[in-house]
Amino acid sequence: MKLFSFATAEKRAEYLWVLRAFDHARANYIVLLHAGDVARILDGLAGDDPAGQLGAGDVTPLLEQLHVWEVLERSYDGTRAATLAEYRNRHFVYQFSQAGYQVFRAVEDALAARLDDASLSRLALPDLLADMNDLAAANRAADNDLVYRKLNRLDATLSDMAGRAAQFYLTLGDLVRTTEITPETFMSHKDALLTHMREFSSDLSRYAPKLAAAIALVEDTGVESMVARAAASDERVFLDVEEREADWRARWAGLTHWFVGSEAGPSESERLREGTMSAIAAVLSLLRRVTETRKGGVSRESQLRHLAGWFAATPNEDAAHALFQAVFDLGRPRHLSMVHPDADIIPDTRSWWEAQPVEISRTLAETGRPPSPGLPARVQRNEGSVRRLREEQLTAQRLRAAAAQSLARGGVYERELDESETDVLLSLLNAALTARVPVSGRVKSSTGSENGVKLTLSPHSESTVVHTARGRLHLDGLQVSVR
Amino acid sequence: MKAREISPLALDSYQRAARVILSNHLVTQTYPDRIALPLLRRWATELREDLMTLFGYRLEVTETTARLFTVSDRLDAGTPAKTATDRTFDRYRYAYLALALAALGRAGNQITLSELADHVAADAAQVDGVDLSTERASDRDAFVDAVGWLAARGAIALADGDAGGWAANPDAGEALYDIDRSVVIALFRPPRALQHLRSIRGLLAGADSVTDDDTAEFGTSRTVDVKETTRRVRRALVERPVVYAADLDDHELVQLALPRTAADVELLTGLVAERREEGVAMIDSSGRLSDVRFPGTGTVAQVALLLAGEIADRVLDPDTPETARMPLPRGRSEDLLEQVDSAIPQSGIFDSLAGHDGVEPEQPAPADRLFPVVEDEWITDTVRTLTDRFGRTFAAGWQADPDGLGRAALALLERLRLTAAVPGGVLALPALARYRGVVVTIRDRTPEIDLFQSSANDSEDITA
Repeated sequence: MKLFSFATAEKRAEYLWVLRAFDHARANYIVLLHAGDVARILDGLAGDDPAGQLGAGDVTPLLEQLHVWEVLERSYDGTRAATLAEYRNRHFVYQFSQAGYQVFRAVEDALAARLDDASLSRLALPDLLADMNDLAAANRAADNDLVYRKLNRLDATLSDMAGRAAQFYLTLGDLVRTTEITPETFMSHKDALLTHMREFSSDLSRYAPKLAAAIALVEDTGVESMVARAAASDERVFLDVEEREADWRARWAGLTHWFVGSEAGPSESERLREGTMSAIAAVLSLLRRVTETRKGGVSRESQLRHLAGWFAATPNEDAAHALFQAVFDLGRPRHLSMVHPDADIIPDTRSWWEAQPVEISRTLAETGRPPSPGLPARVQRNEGSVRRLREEQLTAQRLRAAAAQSLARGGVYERELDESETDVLLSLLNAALTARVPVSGRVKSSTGSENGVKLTLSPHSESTVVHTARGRLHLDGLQVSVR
Repeated sequence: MKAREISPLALDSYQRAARVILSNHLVTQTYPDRIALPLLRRWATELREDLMTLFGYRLEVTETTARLFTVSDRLDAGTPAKTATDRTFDRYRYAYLALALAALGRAGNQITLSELADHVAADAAQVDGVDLSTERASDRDAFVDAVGWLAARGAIALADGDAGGWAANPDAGEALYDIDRSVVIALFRPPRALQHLRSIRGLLAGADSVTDDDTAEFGTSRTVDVKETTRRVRRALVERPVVYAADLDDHELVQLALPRTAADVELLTGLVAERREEGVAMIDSSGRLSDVRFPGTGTVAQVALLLAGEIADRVLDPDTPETARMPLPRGRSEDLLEQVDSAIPQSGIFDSLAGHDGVEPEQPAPADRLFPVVEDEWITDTVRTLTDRFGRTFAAGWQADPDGLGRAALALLERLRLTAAVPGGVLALPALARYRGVVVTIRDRTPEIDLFQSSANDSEDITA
């Protein structure tokens, strides 16, 4: 009877609170709890009872002891760890064992001496829906007893569902979280699991929206009045009316939370559906692991053990290498490299001894290092001619600058421009005319600048003439000024 | 053959894909690199058909792995597993590898190194001759090598920690791995259950044909399947450095002589066939379809190359007496078979299911081809001479050990089928002659110091 040990232990009040936390979580359809989760739940649950004031550190040994007494099942948190520390510190998660839950209920019932909701209706979402509709009608008709009966039944149905869900995850947790899997454990649970999952996911997806609509309908008829009516007809005579009302309000809140999501998160039914989907994936991967081991009559594992023994017994390393290659089949082929530069000219029937050898880089043979292009060669520079060209360029520039200056000083008209001045003028004109973009109408004026002087072309009533060393330059309707 | 229908522009990519899968046999998302798997997936359909037609190899490409199931014609000890630091696996590492794969097969999604070690240690206790004690540093090293090999191939991926730390001190170090189930499965998928084998022959090509008692009587007169013979020749071409005519039987010789046999392999892989009187060598210009590169870099490869040149000179030298000639030594593969078979743990065999793996021993090919023999003493002397002349470019460890260097170089040449060991010496096989005349004049970088010995230096120059 070690299952009941917690009820007589020194810290029985603490143990009871821990278990109440589990029960509370279970009522919210959360089955697996960390020590931290338990502490958090107790924070809200225990109120001002000193025995319920437990931190995560206090909870851990209690959980361990409860596990030893087999009231709680312990397993690893199965989510993927990102770091080693996370993996190592990965807490155990606990859940009620089947017997442990019964024991706790028994103890809790004995302590609370409540009237037990004896009749458990079977899991049937259609019934839930029908009850919900009836509840709306009853509330509208102000039929206190009927409201109470319907609410009671809804509550019972949900408890049943919760119980099944809890059981389901308990079993699944057993299966999926173990690192060792035998086909027997899998086969024994497989059918039940698959049936359960199929029912849950299809029923939930079908009924959840309808139920949500029905709940909305009920809420339209007035939640407060419904709670009051239910409380009025409540058979639990030892609770006063306020307590009964609060109880029913909480139950109704729990019920709506089941099917109607809030801003805080998805509804319980959605969560359950998601949980079911991931459970299906887990079971499938489990199935794969089981079938993989069973392929070929002998299990993969026993083959590998056989192989390990085989490796260990090989008389020499070469035999081990050969065995490795034959069994694992990962071998790499081997080929000579260096293609013949002129392969085509050697006849196929010539012997290797007579055919021309391949060309091998001298560096490779001499040093064992790959031939490289080596350092970049020295650039050839003819400093003298570079200097000469540069000087010529500078002289030309100086002459041009002087011409530009004299052009600016002397003006363009009324004199003959010399050779270099003409060059400057023409290049300035070139720049000015290129810059001119006649889009429409007349172009007012344009400029071009070079060598520190600026040439402006402005419209003129008639042609102007510039005398240059090379002849006369007629500018049609333009006047030139250089500054 | 699908390769013929691929446009010349895409052919390079196709051949690259073929080389990747032929050289690794297993390609995962990370092994040998990240681009390999997408490349293979692109050409999966064509490759699957071509590999089956040409070699009888089966290619399976899944979401995360590509696996080539090959057919091996003979045992070969030439491509052992290597650690990350390029050391060769020993028997214990192989055994740990097998046990680690077994443990990973039943593990969940993640595992720590110490958990894996515990599983392997527990399994090892059930296996004769294998023992893993995490107390012993050497055991830990061997185990970590096996785990590293698995990690390199993507079977497990390091999520945190490091294995080296654990090997150094298992109390302080630890590593966490994610397990990739598909790779774990793909790594070990022998064509037949190992416990059904009485001999490793059962895994080699042709084992199926004579397992029935009915056909065993006619085993000696089995009909020659031309298609299978051609595949066998092509397999030899794509796997071995040189296929010598002296190794083949008459039917295979016919297939080897057909230009198409090698041309098909050329088209698929991009290798270049070099056809000579004595056989065919598929030359790898990409350097990717080979586990060793020759001529390659490094002291051993350098000495092997120089030695090849010297051996060729010795054989061709008209001034020295004609060397003795011998046929190719046989039975290396047979010896290996016997050694491997002798190690089968008899207790593990399932008698009721074990077949008779009585494949006929290969018919010895006519031994009419003789190859020149070079004596061991001559080789030792030559390596010493080479060390004197080129020694300053050698890796320091080898400079001091010319004999070991000679052995390593010879082993390399033998692996490349350029020489073959015989009692008292080595045979110079014909493809060796590709590398004639590699002995070069060493350039003198310090002529000022070498004022009076330059003439002596010249006299040592050997040119072919």
